Amino acid sequence: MTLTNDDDGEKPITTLKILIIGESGVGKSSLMLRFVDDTFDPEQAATIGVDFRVTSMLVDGNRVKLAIWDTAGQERFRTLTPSYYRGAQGVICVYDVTSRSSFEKLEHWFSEVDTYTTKGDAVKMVVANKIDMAGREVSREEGIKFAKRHRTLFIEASAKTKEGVQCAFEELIEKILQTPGLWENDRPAFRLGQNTARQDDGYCGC
Amino acid sequence: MLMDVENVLDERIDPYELERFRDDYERGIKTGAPTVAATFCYAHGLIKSTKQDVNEGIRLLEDLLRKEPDEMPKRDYVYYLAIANARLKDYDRALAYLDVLLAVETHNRQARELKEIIEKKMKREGLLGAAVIGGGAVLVGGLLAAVFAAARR
Repeated sequence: MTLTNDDDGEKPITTLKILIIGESGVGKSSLMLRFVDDTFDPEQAATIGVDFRVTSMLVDGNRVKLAIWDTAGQERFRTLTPSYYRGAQGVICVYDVTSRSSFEKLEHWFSEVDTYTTKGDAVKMVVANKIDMAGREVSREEGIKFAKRHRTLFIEASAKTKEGVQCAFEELIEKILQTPGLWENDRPAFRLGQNTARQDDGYCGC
Repeated sequence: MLMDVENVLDERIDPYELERFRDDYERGIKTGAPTVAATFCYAHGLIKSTKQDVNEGIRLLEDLLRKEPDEMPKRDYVYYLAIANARLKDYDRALAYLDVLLAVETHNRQARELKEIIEKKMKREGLLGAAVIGGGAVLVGGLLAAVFAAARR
């Protein structure tokens, strides 16, 4: 399976809306910027409301357009978040492995996802960020356990070192494309790989 | 609409959603004073609506900014005031707000990007010139004089 971010000028088969949520300071913007622009700013300012990026990637020769919504984690924007969820096919929920409280808040974020997503079967993914940092407070096993209980994808990553970032988005997009009825095909003829269904569903294989 | 960083100035709010924010806000008015959260939500919705609504949104945001004791929410109000003024094509004022924000948070990417978008628009509309720029700073100066005084690092 080939996935690249290069633009070959080919018309996309679909456009997917991906929402990034989680507590303030866990690295949501950093993950998005690493994925879209391959940059990292250690002094990233707190996001105001929501930030947008449109990018595209190739999945088995099919171009998929991605509209990524990076939301502010701060409490005072919570009343605005319901409108952000509308139409999202994928939700990335981020916590910081060096912050126990950001992990404990996941439960709350998931209940919000269930309340506000309009596409009932939107694909969810938990991303454990900042694995490059010392002072880990949440083990990989705990993360996996949580993801299993909520039937979501799980990956550990570091926006700073790039580890797991590309992989996270790829896994999520693949899973969305494998979910019938979740996305609309904008092009009549397209091809999707035969070997897309993975045995180790939920864990990154790249 | 497919939202990208480039069309942050063209976003339109769903009328039903604005109605919901308006109801919350007006319920607040009837029972004394609307909460900061309800006012902000309503203002945030108004600035993505008609010209008249954008003006009302600006009035509410300016009022929130004046009364806000904490630094973090202030930057949000200033940012949305920049968006609102840019939508009304009051680019000088919009840029003046962004400069205030960037003076406090030099790393604020959203503010930097919005500034580029506005400057691009001004160039396209033939408005970019030394005579035009600078007027806005005087206009917002009074309002912002003390706003970020404590936040400068």
